[in-house]
Amino acid sequence: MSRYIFPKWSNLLLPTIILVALTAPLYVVLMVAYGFSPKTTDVGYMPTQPVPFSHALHAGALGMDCRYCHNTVERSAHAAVPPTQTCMNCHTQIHVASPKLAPILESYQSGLPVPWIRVHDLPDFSYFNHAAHVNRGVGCVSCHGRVDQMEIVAQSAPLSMGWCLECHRNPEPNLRPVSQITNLAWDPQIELTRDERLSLRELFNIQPSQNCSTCHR
Amino acid sequence: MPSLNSTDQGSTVVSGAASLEGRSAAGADGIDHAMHSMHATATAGPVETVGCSGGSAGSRKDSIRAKGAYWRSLEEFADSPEFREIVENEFPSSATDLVTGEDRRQFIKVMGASFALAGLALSGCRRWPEEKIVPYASRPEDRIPGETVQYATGLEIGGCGFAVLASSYDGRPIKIEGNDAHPTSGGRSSAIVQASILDLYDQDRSREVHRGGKSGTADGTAAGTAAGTAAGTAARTADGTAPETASDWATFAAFAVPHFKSIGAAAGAGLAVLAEASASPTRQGLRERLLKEFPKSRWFEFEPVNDDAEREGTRIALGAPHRVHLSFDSGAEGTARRSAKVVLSLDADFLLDHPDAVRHAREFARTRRVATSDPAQATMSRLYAFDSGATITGVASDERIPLRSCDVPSVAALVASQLLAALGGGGDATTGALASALAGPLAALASREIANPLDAHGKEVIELLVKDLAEAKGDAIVVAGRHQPAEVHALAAAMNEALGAVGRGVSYTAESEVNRPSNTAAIRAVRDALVDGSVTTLVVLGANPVYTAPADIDFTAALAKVPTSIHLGLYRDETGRRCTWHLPRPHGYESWGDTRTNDGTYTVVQPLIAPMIDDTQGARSSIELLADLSAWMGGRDAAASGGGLELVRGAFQSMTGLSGGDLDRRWNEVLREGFLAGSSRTPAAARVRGAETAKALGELATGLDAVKPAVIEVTFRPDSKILDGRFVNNGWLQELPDPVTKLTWDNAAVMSMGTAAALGVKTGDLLSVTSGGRSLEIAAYVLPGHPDNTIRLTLGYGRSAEAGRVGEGAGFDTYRIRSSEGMSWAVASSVTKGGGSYTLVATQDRGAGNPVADAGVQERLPTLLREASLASWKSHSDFVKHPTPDYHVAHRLSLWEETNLDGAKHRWAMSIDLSTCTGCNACVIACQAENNIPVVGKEQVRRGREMHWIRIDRYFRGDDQAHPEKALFQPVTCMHCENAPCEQVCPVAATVHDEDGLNTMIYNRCVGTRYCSNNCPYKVRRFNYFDWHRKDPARGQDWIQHQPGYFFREGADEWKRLQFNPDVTVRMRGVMEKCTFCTQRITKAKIEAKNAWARAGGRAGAGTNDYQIADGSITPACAHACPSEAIVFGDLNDRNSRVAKLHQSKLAYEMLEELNTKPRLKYLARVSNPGHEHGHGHGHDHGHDHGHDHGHDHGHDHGHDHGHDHGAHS
Repeated sequence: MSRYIFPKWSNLLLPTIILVALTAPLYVVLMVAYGFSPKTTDVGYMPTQPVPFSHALHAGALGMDCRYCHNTVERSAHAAVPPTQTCMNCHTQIHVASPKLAPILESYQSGLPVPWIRVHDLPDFSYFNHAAHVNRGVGCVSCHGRVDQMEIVAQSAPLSMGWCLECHRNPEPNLRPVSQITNLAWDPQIELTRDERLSLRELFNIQPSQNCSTCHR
Repeated sequence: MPSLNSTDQGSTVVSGAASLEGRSAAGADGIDHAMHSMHATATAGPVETVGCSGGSAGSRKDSIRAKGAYWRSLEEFADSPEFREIVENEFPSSATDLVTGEDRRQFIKVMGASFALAGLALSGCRRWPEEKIVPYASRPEDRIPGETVQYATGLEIGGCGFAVLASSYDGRPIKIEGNDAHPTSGGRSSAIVQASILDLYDQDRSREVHRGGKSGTADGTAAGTAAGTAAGTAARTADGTAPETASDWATFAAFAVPHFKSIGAAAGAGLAVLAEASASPTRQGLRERLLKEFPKSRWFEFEPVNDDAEREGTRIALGAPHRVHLSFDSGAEGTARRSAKVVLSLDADFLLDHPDAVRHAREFARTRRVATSDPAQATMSRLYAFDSGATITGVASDERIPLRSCDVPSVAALVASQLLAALGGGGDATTGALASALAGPLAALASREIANPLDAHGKEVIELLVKDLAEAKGDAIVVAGRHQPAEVHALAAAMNEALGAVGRGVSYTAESEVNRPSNTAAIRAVRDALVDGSVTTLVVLGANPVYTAPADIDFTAALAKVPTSIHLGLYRDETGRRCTWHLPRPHGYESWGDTRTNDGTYTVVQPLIAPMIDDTQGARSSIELLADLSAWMGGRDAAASGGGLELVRGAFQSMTGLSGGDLDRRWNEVLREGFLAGSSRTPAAARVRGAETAKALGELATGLDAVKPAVIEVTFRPDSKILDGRFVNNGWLQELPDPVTKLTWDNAAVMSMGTAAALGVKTGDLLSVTSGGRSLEIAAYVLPGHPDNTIRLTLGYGRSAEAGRVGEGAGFDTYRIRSSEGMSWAVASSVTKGGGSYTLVATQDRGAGNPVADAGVQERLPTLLREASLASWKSHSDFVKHPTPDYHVAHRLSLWEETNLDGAKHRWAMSIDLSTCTGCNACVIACQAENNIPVVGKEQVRRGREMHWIRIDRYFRGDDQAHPEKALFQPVTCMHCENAPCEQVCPVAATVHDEDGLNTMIYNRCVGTRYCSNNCPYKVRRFNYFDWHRKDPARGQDWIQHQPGYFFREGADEWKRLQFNPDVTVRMRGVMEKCTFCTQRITKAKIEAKNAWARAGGRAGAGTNDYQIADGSITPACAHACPSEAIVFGDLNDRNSRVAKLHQSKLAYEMLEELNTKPRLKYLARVSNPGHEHGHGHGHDHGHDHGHDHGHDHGHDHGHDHGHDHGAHS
């Protein structure tokens, strides 16, 4: 008789197994959906750059406009990372001896470029055009977040296709007058009424394309 | 879209749009590199072992990434300082510490940190590896990264220039278009011009100086003593190749400076320059100065394919050599318009094989375009062609008479004598004099028996031809073929003068060098000079005489005799390997130069990129080398003459006579426009000399008497794609189907069905062709409609590895039997079926010759390719609706719910005019260049897997296979059907329809079921069965379908990647692709228009609207290249756009409309202008019954009334 006495806790074994078997797949699915979602894998990506350039200092404290450096954003698909020469516009005279600027000075003297690490990256089969957005009322902050508060640039939006489509399907909350495009602190949800935002949409006849070929070529 | 991508700290590897594979898990980068090392070239070092001294200069990570060495763990890959420390302590004295608990935790923490530093932890487990953005250090003004900039430059082929615009992306050219301001190109181009960009990025290009046995001795002694000569000759290998020794420019200069100085001291004695033809004023100036300063040096020019016949012919007829210029249409409108009404081509392929082919196609198309005309008033030119082979001019003609090339003079003489008689009767004294002078010889020629005698139909055509010419007079043009003998050119000149065409459709410009020897005489003279020892130093500029010289002139043996030979070439080809020195030459797009187009317009050649040849290897263009030679010979410092730019500017200055500020301004203008406007040569007045022409024709008649009708002749022609062999290593051109034969990757002996039957051969059988004592083994290709008793051999193939990996083994070397007596045609002393067969791959007629299949094609052809003669169109203007008597389009019902495209802002559509399309293939290559379309190789083309998004179908019409009535071309691209069958069956919705009407392809969604291609009735979808870009070399295929290297290569060839268009995704294995109407160009135009409108203030509202896209601002690559302007693209919503008007044309029809696919690509039926109706009067039964029956029968009678309705129709 003593051979068949199981410990008390084994009464719970089968129910536990059943419970786990039922919830585990759900758990795995949720983990994958959450863990592999761009919100997890991409948001917060903050690679260390070869030069400790601080946007919080330059764009934030000093108030430089985004377009001073990223000057092709209104004319081209790329909002180009500035050439070393742009940095030297000021830094031939400011903080010249700073060790943080050493790679920049070296690049300027040798002619070799600075190899920045790309933060906001889309897959190569998709196409994004900055000029098409910036010229018609989509502000920098809508996709890039408060870069003027970042010491090191981090990705603040998932930039997934679904996320892009959210705005393409409903652009008004993200529209702003063209004069406020680079004003990262300016929030259209606060500063404008809904009617004003609708009129912005009408002004530029914004009908964001939901065609696949717009981005997939 | 990707920016510059670096995989290594130090160097940058520029990659275009990366393939989808780059998006695998982190670490894939490392794996690929590891694999890559197994495929490493000789320059990669051995695999590094991990271990001690991890702290050597340069991090381990760099060395892994640079050398593709193996890495064994992620920590190693991350190469953090902590890791290095641990590695250095691999055998630490306190090793046992590592295994105790506390230190183990420390170890794990450190490892975790190293992961983080490698970007794998806190930075998030990203979906893809790190990418870099590498901007300029100092960005040139107005350069916008990601935008292409166009520069005007030129391209010289065979001694004649072509003005192009090169699109430069990130500092490298990726696409070539014609220069739209230039009178010759007019913005259009040819297949060869489009493909020229690929040669720039050819890995097999020569990039090193090479030195051979003899005078490349280290002490740089001058050209050989007897001992040196003997030693040198012995040093050569059995086939005459000098042993390979890579060298550099400094070594060459060390040898060359004293060598040439001593030659210069002797006034150039012993020096001979053998150059390819060139129209460059700079080179000409340098040549003149060289010959003046060193009078004993000699200069020869040789091109295997040339216009000597025209030179000699005009010399006979006009007294001095002239160049003949044709003008089919003056381009003006209304009463000022002068347009050719009748054109007679005497074996002249003026639409393809001519320096001015692009202009000819454009002008000729203007004389053929009737799509928007009112049928009652439509007029078209009439083209008669005597064709000795498969040419597109023959296909484009209204009446084609196939003849042997040696018989063309006879039939031409027949026409001429009748024509002159007809015109002479008009009372014009000079014509009368000409007629009487030529009467005798013409009669002698015309009475010869020819191999393809004119049947009743043929005689009618000749009668009509004479009548048409006599009526048209000054509006007629007679063109003599480049490869016809000089006497035929003289005859054509006489005919043109009698017609009064000179000064209208035909004009002459005097050639400046009157006494220049012919190319054949030149090569013979060089050979003689080499053999008799009077030449001790031979400089070969660009030419490849070892391969291209006539077979009876044994140039190889002669070359072996000369002590010093220096070859400057784009490839280290046959000649380069047999010269004592070989110097790498930069491509035309990498160097400064100039040229003249055929009409004489000065065109600048500016470099788009610095030469991709290391500076230490010289990278001298031919003008720079010539300048160096002159300097060395004169004992001057070579650097003083400056580089290519200074030389070209110098020539420009002496040409224009300007100086100072004026010169700079003009130079900048010319640089921007690409050419010097108004610099074309002025037409010369010239009269035909009857006596001399008669004499020459008499001699021709005597000479041809020996060639009996039963004799089989062989004709030598430049290949339509690789010309004389210069493009043999160009993968695009190799895979491009020949316009008429549709052969890829090989050449063949093209013959008629009759000749094949007589020889007992079929396509693919090996033949042995003997001519002039030399024989050649070549595969036969049977082409319907080819004249009997003549075999067309194209040049440029049959090369060894010396030609490059793509060109190696392609086709058969026809130069082997081409002798200097018969450069265009020769008598074949014997043609016998050899043993064995050869796989020839053509993209059409894969089941060729099968009578059942052919009958099926003939049945369906009238609905696919609708055509009629001009006369029947006039009487039945809606023939397009009734291509066959029982043609009936059922109700347009769909099996599924149709896409609703109402209210779209744009409706993109295209039309292709079959009356003007000549089948030249420019669109095919333009599309390939624009859309990163891969080359698949011969074996895969054999399986039907060629990837061209646009193809040109060739059909023969007629019930007699051996003598078809005509051949027809039809370009086929994706139709972008509104009711697309492909969209309905994709299981993953990878192909969907845009609002604007485009059928889009989403590559990343495609899983490769290929159901869409299955369902496409037009078969325009192409599947990537393998990662085509990775397969290299494309030509060599073994039974396991890919070389081992396929698995280890990382994507496309590194050089070829530079050509990729970054705006178009590069597709990988398993993905379907097809024509997108160049959606990247459409989107670009839309965005530009929208931005411009928004910046101008925008304002959408009632009435005004939105951005507008002007008609013509979007041109897909194919439309942009088409020389005949046959392809038109635009927005149907714009009622005034060309495409909207063309879609409304009476000639517009949809292919396979009975399937209710509603294609957005409409064809404009082919209207031709034959003199009379052939065979079944195509048009006339159709008109009447159809009109009223269609209306009411459809509704209810469908089922049972079909029977008798059809009866009523016929």
